[in-house]
Amino acid sequence: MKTKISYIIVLMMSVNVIFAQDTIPEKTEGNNVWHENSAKVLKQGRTESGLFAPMRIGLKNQMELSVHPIWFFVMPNAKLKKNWTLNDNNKFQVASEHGFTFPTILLNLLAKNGTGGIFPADQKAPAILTLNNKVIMSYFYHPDHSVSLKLGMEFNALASMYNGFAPVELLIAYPRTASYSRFYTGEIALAFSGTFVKKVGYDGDIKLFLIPDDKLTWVLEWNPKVYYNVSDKFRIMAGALVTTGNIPHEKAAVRAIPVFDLQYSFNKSKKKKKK
Amino acid sequence: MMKLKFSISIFALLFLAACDPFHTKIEDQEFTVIQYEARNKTTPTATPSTLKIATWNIKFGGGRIDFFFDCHGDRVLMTKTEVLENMTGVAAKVRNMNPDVIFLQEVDIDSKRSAYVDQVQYLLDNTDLNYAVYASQWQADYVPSDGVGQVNSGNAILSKYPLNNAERIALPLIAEQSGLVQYFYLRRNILLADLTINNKTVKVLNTHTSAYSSDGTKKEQLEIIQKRVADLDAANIPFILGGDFNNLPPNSTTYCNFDDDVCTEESGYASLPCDVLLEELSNMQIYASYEAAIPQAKYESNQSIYGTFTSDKDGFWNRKLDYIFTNGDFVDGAGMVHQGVSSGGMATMPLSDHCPITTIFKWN
Repeated sequence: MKTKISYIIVLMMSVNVIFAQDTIPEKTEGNNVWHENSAKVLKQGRTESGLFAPMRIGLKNQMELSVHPIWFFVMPNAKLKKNWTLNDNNKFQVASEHGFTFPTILLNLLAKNGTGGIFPADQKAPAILTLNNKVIMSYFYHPDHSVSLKLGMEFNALASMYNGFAPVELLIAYPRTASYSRFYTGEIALAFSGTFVKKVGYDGDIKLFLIPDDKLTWVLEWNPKVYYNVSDKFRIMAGALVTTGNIPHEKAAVRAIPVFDLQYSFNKSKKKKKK
Repeated sequence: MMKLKFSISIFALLFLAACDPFHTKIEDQEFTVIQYEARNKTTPTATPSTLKIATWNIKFGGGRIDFFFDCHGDRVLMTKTEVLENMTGVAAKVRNMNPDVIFLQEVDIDSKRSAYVDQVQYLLDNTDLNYAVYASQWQADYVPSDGVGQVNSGNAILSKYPLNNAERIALPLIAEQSGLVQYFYLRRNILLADLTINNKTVKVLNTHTSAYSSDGTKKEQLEIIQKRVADLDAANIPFILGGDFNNLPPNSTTYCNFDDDVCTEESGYASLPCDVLLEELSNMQIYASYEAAIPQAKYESNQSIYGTFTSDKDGFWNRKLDYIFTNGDFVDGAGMVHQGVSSGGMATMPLSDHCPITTIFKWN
């Protein structure tokens, strides 16, 4: 398994090298410093967050750390994204993303009597650690637009299958908790990201979750979003999350919810040189 | 930040009010009644002179598992094995009673708590009953409370003979509940249908009124039920009404502080205060107008042998909440409360927190 993954990474990097001379022309709509749904990472020193979005921190060596700060107290989580592309201006770019979540505290908080009891009070979760790994391959076919293919798998690292887990049989929730009672789940996504005009951007994932059961369970999710970049420091996002799938006992063929966020950023201040 | 969170909460409530994202609202139209047939039908008596009528709240096949709402335990969900084991017992008792028509309350057809077993179909396929109609009174894609999850539970009428023109009539919601609780809570109803045998039609009605309202909603529901049957009676339409009325008969000597009342106020399932329960005794005006399976005089002569409910599996049936009424005729003395082996021929305590009642209706 490790060997196969290594081959895939080497192959992708080879493709990257082959097209090393094929660079992205200068953006026509100005430099978009905001996070893009692609293999690109935030510039070092830049931090972004939102009401609902994770906090993303641009690190050195083409890396980006993201954490959901509010969730962290009840569901410790983190993700590290590394852009492996030799030249940041390459049309083809490759990144990998590695993260973990520890949902046990949150699951047990939600297992209660009364309103807000998502899970039965008599079912307590064991220690669960999920590891999520993803490969992101992006192609910048236009200075302002990109398309990305993402391949990911989530593993239940402690192998503590939550055998008594009573899942939430709703399209939006089911695939995100499926790994709690299984060894692994898979994900394939196609992402589109770019800028319409100077201040208006977009991105959208078409994501396919694959959950191994007696028969394969799948959930297809489309998440289109539009951004209005008020400035380099503030932007507004609006969109939708539309899902369909064949999860057990889900009554609706399709579920859709609106999504909204207010996002802000700040840069690490540069130290002034002493004269 | 607080203003923003408040705004988001208001938006969420408005969203729920404007839409029905979890499909909890039940349209009060004919097509919301589900029709069932047994996979293998039996042949009932072609020209019956009497019909055996029963009513039973089967506690969604939960048997005597200690669920959180009784405050004797904290169970929420059952496994399929548990449900089928309990339903085997329920079916056995139904076969033991051998009714021509049975009114069932708290029947699950597609609920997470009962492993999604369709209990109406199960009973049709494991008894001599051939037809059924079902009307939901608790339906939601997901109830975000107590870990209940998806639920579809309601009233059913099962019969050896075909049932036609089935209809669901909504009863008032509990007014004192908040909008959010009301959205996800039970929606009580009257389920009615025509039972036609050899050109004679009788209206059969099944109901299950509120258990926990202290704002007069139960009284309002009972008044609507009573008005409905009064209209049928005024139109010379024979009816049989059965169900769990969650109300004691008039002149009940014990009406509060029962031994099995262990729920606290905090649980949300505490019994109502004694003065409220005393006042509720006058809700059952229906006794004065129609014949009951257990006549009022008989009940008053020895109330303890007519109890149909207890939440304590180690106790005894201590209050009468279940009834059958008609504007026709029951065979005198035929009414029976199946409290156990000595009255009914089979133990019923393990099968539900209610025991069934039967009587015999004169068809000709």
